[in-house]
Formats: sequence, C-alpha cells, structure tokens
Amino acid sequence: MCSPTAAGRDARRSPSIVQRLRLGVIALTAAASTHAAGESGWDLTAHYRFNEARDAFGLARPVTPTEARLNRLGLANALLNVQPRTDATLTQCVGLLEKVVGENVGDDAGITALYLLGRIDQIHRATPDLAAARRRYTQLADGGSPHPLAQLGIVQLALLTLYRPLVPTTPPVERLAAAEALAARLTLPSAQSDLQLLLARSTLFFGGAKEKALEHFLAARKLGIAPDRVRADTAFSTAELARELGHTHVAMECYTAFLQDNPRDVRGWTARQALVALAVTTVP
Amino acid sequence: MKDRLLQKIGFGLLAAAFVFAAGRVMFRATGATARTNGKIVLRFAHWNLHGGLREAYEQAIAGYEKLHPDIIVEQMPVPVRVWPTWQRTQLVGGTAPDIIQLGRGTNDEIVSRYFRPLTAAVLQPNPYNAGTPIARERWRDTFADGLTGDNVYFPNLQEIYGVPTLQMNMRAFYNRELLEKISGRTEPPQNYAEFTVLMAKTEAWTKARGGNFVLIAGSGDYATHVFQRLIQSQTQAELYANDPDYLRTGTLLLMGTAVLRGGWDLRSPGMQRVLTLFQSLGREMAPGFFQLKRDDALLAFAQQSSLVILSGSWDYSLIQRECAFPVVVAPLPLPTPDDPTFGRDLLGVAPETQSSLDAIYGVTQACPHPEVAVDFLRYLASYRVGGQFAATSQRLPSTLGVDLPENLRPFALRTDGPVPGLNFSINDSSPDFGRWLQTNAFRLFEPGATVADFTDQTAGSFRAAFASDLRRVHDTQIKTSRRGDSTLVAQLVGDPPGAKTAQMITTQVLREMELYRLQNALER
Repeated sequence: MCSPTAAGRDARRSPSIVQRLRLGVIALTAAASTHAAGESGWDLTAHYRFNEARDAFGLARPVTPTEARLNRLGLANALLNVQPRTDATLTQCVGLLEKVVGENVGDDAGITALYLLGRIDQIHRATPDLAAARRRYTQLADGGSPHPLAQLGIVQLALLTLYRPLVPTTPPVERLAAAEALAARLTLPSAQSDLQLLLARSTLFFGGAKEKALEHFLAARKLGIAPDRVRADTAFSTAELARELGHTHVAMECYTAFLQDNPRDVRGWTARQALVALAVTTVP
Repeated sequence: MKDRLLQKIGFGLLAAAFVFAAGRVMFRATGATARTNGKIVLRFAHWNLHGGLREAYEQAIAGYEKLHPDIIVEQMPVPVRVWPTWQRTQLVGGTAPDIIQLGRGTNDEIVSRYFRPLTAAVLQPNPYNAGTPIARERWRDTFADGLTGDNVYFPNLQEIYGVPTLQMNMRAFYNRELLEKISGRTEPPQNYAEFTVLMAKTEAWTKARGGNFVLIAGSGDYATHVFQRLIQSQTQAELYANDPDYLRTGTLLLMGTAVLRGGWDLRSPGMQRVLTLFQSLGREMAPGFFQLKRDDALLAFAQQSSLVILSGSWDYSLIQRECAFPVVVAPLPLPTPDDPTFGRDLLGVAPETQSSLDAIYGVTQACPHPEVAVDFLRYLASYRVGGQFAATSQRLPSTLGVDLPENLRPFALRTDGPVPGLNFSINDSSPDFGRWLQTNAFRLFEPGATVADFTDQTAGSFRAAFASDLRRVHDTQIKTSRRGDSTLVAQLVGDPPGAKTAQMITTQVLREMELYRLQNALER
C-alpha cells in the first residue's frame, strides 16, 4: 500500500536516480570521447566539436577563481555554436560573458569576452543589434589594448562604418574617411594590414580615388598579409591597379611577386602578358 | 516495492551495459592502420568504381609495395550511393581507413575534426619526382591549379587537406568514320566556326540520306556542362566590368552580386552570345534533349545515331569500350577571338585548370602512421606513376607534364589563357540557377523561338535564381562566420597569437566585407 505521501517521496526520489545516471552517462561519454587524445574543452572547440566542448567545460571543476573565470569564458564560447541553436543558449552565453567582463574588462579574458559580446550583437543574433555591437567595439578600442581581439574589434568597427553605417545614407567618402581614422588606434601590424586591405578594396568598391586605394594596397603588402590566397589576390589586384594608373615599376614588381609565389594560378597568363607589355613600354 | 526493484535492476543493467560499451570504446586500439606480420597495413577508400580506375590504383599499389616491402596497401572501393553514410559512420565510429576520398559530405567541420592538414607536406618537393622535369617544383605546383580548388584547400581552415589524383575536362568525341563520310575529312573541328561548317554539311547529308540523325548526342547533364562552359567563355568582359577589387576571379559571389546590383544581366552582350550559341548547339541535338539522361546520349552515340557527343574525359574509357568505331577527340566547339560573330569581345580561350581536379584524397586523424599515408599519396600523384596510371585507367592523372599515351593527348588540360568569366558549377554551387536552366531551356529550342523572346520571358527569373542562390551563400557564410568566432577564440587561448590566428582573422574580415556587400545587394 502506497500512501500519497510515500508516492510523492518516491516521485521525488526517482528523478535523483535518473539524474545520477544521466550525469554518469555524460561523464562516461565525455571521458570516452576525449580519452584518446586527452583533448580539453578549448581543443574541442578549435575542432568544431562545440557540443562536446560544452560538456567538457560543464564537467570541469576549476580550483582557483582564475580557472573558474576562464572556464566560464570557454563554456560561453562553446555555447555560441552549440546545436540546436536557441535563444536560451544565447542568453546563457551573454550572461556568462558579461560576468567575465564585469570581473575585469582589461585582461585577456575580459577583452575576449567583450569581443564575443560584440560579435553576438553583430552576427549571432537572429536580428543583429549593430548599435550595441558598435558600443562594444568602441569600448574595446578605448581600452587601447594590443590584444588581437581588441584590435580586431577596431577592424570590425571599420567594417560596420563602411558597409553598415549608423545613417544608411552616409556618403561613401565620409564612410571611408571615418574608417580610415580608425587606423590611428591600431598597433598590431596584422590588424593594421587587415584595415589597409579593407580600405583598399572598399575605396575601389565605393568608386573612391584609385591612387588612394593603391596606397592602401601597398601599405597592406608592406605590413605583411598572412593568408596565402589573400596575399596572392592582393599582389594581383595591386599589379592590375598600378598598371592602370601608369605605375609601371610597381605593377611589374607585383606581377613578378605574384607569379613567383603562385605559378599555377589561373591568372598567371594575364600576369605574364602584362609583364611582357610593360617591359616593352619601359625599354629606354 | 517490486516495481521499484525491477526499475533499479533495469537501470542497473542499462548502466552496466553502458559502462561496458564505454570501456570498449575507451580502450580499443585507436586508428585504422594495423600491423600484419610486422608489416604496416594502409587502407584507402574511394568511390571510383569506374572501369580501369581500380586496376590503375591496384597497379600503383603493387609498385609502392615493391618499393616498400614493409607496407601493405589495401584499396576499399565503396559504392557512391552509400558513400556519405558509410563515410560518416566510419569517421564518427573511429574506424575510418587511413586515406579517404574527399568531396561528398566533407565540409569544414568534418575535415577539421577527422582529417590531417597536408599543407606542410605539399610545400616541399615530392621525392618521387626526383629525376623528372618537375623534380624541383613544390609538390603543390605539380598540380594544374596549385592545389587551390574545392575539397583540396579549405579557406576557412587555412589548410590544404586533399591531394587529387585525376584531372577532368570536357571534350567533343567524334565518330571518325561518320566524320569522314559527312565532312570528307578525319580532322575534327577545333572551334565553333569550324563546327558550323560541319553543321551545314551534316544537315545536307541527313537530308540526302533521310532517317533520324542528329549531329550531337545530347542530354540534360551534358547540356548543362556545355552551358557552363559557354558562360565561362563569353562573360570575360562582364567580369572585367564588374570586378571592383581587380581580382579577375569570376566567382558566383562576385558575379551574382553584380547581377543583383544591376551590373549585368541576361540582356548583356556576353549572355546574349551564350544564348545564341546554346540555341545553335541545342538545335543540333534531338528534340527534348534536356530531359534525356547521360546514358541515353551515350547510347545514341554508340548506335551511330549521332556524329558527336560533348562529354567529359570521365566517359572516355566507357566510350572506347562500348563504341564499335574509332573515336577522335577534339576541344569543345567554342568560339575563338578570331570568330567573325562571337570573337569580338573575347579575351581568348580560358584555361581549364579551375575545378578540374578530382579523385581527391585526405589522410584521416585515425591514421597512426600519417607519414606513411602521405608518402603513399606522394607516390600515387608522382610523375612516373602518373604515366602508368593514365595508360591503365585511360584517364588523365592529376600531375602536370606527365608523358601521356598518344590517345590521351587531346585531353591534356589547357593551362594558359586569359581568365574565364563567370566561373561556377551550375548544379553544385547554384542549384536554383540550375533549376532556372532546366525549366526554361526548352523555350530556346521551340520552333520559331528567338533569343530576344527568350530573354523577355526569362530575364526576371534569371535574376531571381541568382538572388535565391546568393541567399543560400549568405546563410552559409553567416554560419561559417559564427563558427569561426568560437574556433578563433579557442585557437587564441590555446596558443599564443601567431600566423594561424592572423590568417583566420584576415580571412574572416574579408569574408564579412563580401557578406555585407551581398547583404546590401540582396536588400536592394
């Protein structure tokens, strides 16, 4: 005979067994899935294993407050891409990141969290909140940190200024000037190069001064461009533009660099033909 | 009470079963490569079941095993229909072979998770090319496109994951006996102008002879490929006019965005030439050819109901085997710059190097001897093995400059020439554009149909098809950017900022610049 009270007690007990089993299952799954390579939550996230990363961060038992803070950041970072994507997950993510920022906005973890909050507003929400994203990036810029994500925040600010200005009718020339003004706030060469590339291509896109675009391209090349394909594209674009503007030596140098690094590129014939034509024009 | 006991027993059994299974997973031998009698066994899986290919791989394996007596290589052909499921099961289950073909169901996520980057390896010369004309070239430069194509280079991951072993290209295959009978010569047309002469002669010959005979054995698949090649060849001027970045690469994103911005459309001179040429070629095919399948076209050609079939190098082995007449291979009948009608705005005949490499292989994370797997791929895609591979498979090996058998020389890729115009794979990257073609093409071939009428009827849906495909591109790019945020942060926390993170950041910034341009164009 089960009294209602006993049944209620059993009902309260049953979930605890289920819950314990569930936790055990999660623990074993996580252990089994990460055992082979001993991957951390960060490793799992770097390899697109977001759901497993969430479980790994969720199961972690950080000892120090610093570890706990980094774990919150890792969990939020994984939650950003956990499937299925829900508003609740995004809200949880924002909460975790705001806590990290609230503790210290100036250290690496704080800067990373602030950058991610900007990205959530810019690209992760179903309806982007670009004004909020701008505020986050401006806060990052004001911090003056050389951290790559603080610097990237400034480049993102330039991107929004160029293509999603606060006032949509802002003339291109004003957008370009505002974006160019952000260059002074960058200290990391790779970020400076990214902004120069953005300015070069946007100047051309908006029909700005081609000489100015060429200057930006050359500045980016001088600062260094990390990805092979972007380096190839930039060398070729710079060469084509310089040729059109009559800067023969610049064009020849860029075509030559392009061909040296990319002998099989589909644009190789175009570059070789251009070099032959330019060589003829430079014969004394 | 009894219920609770049963419940506990049930849960206990479930837990025990799970612990047992988890233990099996945890303590099983990882990796697919095993050792047999002290030898390393390397397994490589693919879906290339076509005649000649398996034999060619087997021959290459025998050569490799002779050079390396301590290694056994096992080929695992898997039917293409079950490939995606099979592959996923093997990868997720941790039982994947050492080398797996890439291209069906392999995306950034799968590749990053289950495959090893090969970038460092391809930046060095291939030792198996020693003593050959390409001995000093970086391995990547021994391929037609420098390993920058789809399923080889993964731009979001900034790594090369695949090594191709085959080249594919389109050609016109002529029945030599019929060609001589109809045209009085055995040398096939080399371009569109020469092809029009053959069109006239075939018409006269068919009238005199009577019966059902059409010049081209056509089908929807082949016609789509031809349409794509016509667009590449005729829209070079449109590319130069709509390329603000001076990149000269006519991607769907660039050219499609230009369509949305009003930079060019179906009424542009290049597209009008495409339609005129397509109509001209399509009228040489059987009525309703767009509904026919590849096998129908091959049968018509084999039965000598047609003089020519416009197909790919992938069909050559089959055509040789099934056709009881000599076949002569020539370039597709495309206009050249000296063409009196269609050559005026052409910059020239474009190279065939983009998207032409196939049978691409990657090394899995599960492989415990990746250096052995990479070494086998080096051997497979080497100069000398390429020659044998071509002779046995009757297909083009991926390695450039290989001394091809006489009959395969007409397939050699054109590697030089001005850039192609809009360069995309109609059904792979732009399914809605493919559907537009599929549902509208018939209008061009109806009796009395004109290009002008076709343009009036379909210009709106042409733009809509681009818009629809670009919305898909937009959504994919957004997802890529979102995932990129988490992986970038994880990368930065895991390692000090370096070249890899700088590459990821630059790629992300430029991708999002293009994304905003596209968004603005879609909102117009």
